[in-house]
Amino acid sequence: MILDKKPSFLTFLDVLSGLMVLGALILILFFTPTELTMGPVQKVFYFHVASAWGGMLSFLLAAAAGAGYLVTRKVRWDWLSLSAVEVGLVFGLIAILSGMIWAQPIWNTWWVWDPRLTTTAIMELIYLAYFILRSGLDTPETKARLGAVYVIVSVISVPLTFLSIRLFRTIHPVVIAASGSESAFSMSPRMLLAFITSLVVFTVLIADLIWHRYRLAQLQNPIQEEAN
Amino acid sequence: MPANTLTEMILGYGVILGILLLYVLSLILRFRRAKTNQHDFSENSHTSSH
Repeated sequence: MILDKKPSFLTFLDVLSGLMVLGALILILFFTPTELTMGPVQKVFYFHVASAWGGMLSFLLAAAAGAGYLVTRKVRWDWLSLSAVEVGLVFGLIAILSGMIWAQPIWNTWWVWDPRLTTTAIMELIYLAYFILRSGLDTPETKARLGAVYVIVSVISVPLTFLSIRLFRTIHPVVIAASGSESAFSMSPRMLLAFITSLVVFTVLIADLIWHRYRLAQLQNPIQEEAN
Repeated sequence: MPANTLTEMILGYGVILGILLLYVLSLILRFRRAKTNQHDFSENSHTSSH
């Protein structure tokens, strides 16, 4: 099977995500105020949270696609699941590393075994093991079936990571909290605008990257494609 | 007065954009390799069918 010509909407999405990332950067660097205590490093926050959001969203999509595979047995769902896990891992890594760089001057350490940091690291390792599992299996059908079960079971780590700062004592700030909550992260209107913009930008970016990864999987598996 | 953390901010965004660029580059390279493999595969099957 020869891969279909690149859809024009995907090209549009490439340009749009590139421009959106650039626009968000300009907004963050030049239009958001500098935080009074932490200084410029606080600006890492916008892309740090957006990366974590992108990673978690990808893992949720991977689980949904895994369920899609188990129901339909169509290999396309497996490719989507695989693509979402890979992109989720990249964004999870960005969230962890940018968080460490932010933590260094603020907490005076690169890493602490705080509930949020620990659950995020465990989530990342769980999804990394997904690729180890797949590489240890023989047939594409077994990879797809066990991979689907694995991503469905693993998705429990996503809400656990998200809720860890609400369930346990932690030094990690709570960004999304009820207004007036003691633990809420207070933001000025311009900070809030940059924050919401970053979330939207990263949502578009992960959709674009997952689509590209999906097309790569399609190209790498021409025989499976024909069998479906 | 805010802390002087400009270096950390630059490092943070450098890491974020650097990883994103590396991933995009890896997608491009893998895509090219897969296309070459597919081309070789079709040529071989064409030759063996004759």
